Amino acid sequence: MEFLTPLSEGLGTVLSQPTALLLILVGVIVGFTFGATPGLTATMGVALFIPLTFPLPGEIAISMMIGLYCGSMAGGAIPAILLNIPGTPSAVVTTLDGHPMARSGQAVRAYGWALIASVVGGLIAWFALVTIAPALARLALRLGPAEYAAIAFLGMTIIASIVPGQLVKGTLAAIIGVGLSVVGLDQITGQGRWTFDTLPLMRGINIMPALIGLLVIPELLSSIFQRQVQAQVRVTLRGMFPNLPELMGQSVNMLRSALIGVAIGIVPALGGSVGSLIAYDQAKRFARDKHMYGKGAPGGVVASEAANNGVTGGALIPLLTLGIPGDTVTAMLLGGLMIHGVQPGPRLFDTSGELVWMILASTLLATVAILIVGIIGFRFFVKVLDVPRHVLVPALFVLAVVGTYSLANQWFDVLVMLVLGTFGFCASLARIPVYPMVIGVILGPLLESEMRRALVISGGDWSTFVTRPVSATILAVALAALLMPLLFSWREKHLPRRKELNNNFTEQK
Amino acid sequence: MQFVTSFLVTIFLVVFAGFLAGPAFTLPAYDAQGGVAAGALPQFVVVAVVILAIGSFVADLRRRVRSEGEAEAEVHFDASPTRVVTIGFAVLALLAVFLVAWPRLSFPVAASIFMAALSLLLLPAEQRTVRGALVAVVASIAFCIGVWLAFVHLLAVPLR
Repeated sequence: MEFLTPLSEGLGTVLSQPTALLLILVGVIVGFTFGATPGLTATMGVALFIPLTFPLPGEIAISMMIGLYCGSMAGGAIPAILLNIPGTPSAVVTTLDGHPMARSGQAVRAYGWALIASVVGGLIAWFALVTIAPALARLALRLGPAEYAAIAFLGMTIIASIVPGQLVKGTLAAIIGVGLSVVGLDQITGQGRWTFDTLPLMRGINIMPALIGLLVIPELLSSIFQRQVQAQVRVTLRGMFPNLPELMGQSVNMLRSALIGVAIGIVPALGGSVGSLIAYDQAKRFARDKHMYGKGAPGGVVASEAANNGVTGGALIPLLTLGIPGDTVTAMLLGGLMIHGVQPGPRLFDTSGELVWMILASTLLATVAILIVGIIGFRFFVKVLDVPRHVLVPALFVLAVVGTYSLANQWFDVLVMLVLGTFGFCASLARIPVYPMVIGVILGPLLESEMRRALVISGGDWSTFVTRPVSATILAVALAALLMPLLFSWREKHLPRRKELNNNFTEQK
Repeated sequence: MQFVTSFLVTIFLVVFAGFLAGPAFTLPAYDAQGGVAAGALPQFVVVAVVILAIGSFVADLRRRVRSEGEAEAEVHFDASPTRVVTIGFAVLALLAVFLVAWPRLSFPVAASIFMAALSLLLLPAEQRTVRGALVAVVASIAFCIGVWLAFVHLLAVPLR
């Protein structure tokens, strides 16, 4: 419990600043709004609001962004329950039982369950964050360049191999991202790489314009093609919350689902939807009313929401300790942190301990704020569903352009955003995932610089990566991450044939 | 649509990688001690992108040949492929025009025109009335002026 002292100091600092509290609340409200609007995502929310945080002190700005992240995860349940359309990708599992509950006149009750599960899931994830992150950061400090290079490689391989049946496309996307990170002057020799003797290219491609281009522009374009449905529901807060026995009946489900969410969140790229799906499956397996799952079981809503809010805390663990984002939102948060002069990684707890504990305290307050905002703002968030798409999407395009320009007042950044946005859109049409590109942009410099440092230390001996036990283990896991999808695909193709042969053989006998 | 875009993206990647290969291969890949030099990663990226782009297209081609006669799965948009491509590229073209017009017309004017044009383009069929169009235009102008005021006066970002 050594984290209690710095945490209480961090909490004291946040609580003594009314501006910080207010902005966390604003972040949660904006997050809820983005989560509650189908087609808008937390990634967009964080990306578009980063420029608005420029005048704020770093720690308050980051607290606001974290509030936005937490709020958006909880807000995604509203359209999932009312319209059967997930507000965020991670709320897709909430539709399975949330919408049937709404159809049987229990919309508000389903929302109440979702809200409680979101807060409990968020609190469990927060506890995991404050206990695991400092220990992991201490451990990471003992690692050398070879291990860091291996970790960066592992991050990229996991993300490249995560899209089912698309290993080649995932790897291609990750390498394109690495290619984008190469542009500029070499960090060690100062030689120009793909700079074509132009000053903007010598500065390199900044992370934020690349992230906005690759993630936000294709998402905004795809949101144009989502159908808009009007919410037809009588909004009343009566009967929103379950009673104590009902709550106790779901306590194990909530705890289990949140822990699944945390574990999934730690692994880069898996994200809330995978967490929710696994948690839902487990909840159904252990439930007494498993026949009701998919027809309106509160347990299904609880599992999904506790897990996807658990993912938020889990995804912050690799971000703060290793500088590796767990999902697209934390990739945006990474960009936001860097803009405010914070470099996530194992040294963060040493160099900016106070700031980190303030961020962790803000995460706790944001999680609690979800409950308050969720109750008071329910009527407003339902109205948000009716905002016409043909006004909302153009407004967000304007914000994306202005936001990118205001990062450094550079036209070049806006150009990068437009070019990468166009490429990201074409890539998504060709089913090439854009998230591995983003991770390539982020992890490319880490992989290259640490690999070169490791080779300098070893005198150019490449075996250093496999003779150091930690590095070798991480590389083995990375190799497994690459080979497993191939193995599963081979088994899928050949196992039915083998079974068929065995059956034929038995019949002949 | 997926197959055609996959083909076009592959062509683009191979040609672009070929264009970048020249500058990449003029840099040294290894230093005297056997370590990695500035050219190693660009050279790796060029070669890997060409191989994987072709591999990705071949995989799509094989999938298409295997599923010939079956409907191609187009699940990630709630619109026809033609509409996705037409509207998608129209929006990107409008965005490019907005960026070109911004320094010439000033931000509030260029952004208002862009937003109004895009709102009108996306206006649903049932709202294509004079009133619907007017609401979209007024909302666009009000929003863009609000953004301009907020960025220039509150955030001190010099939006021309």
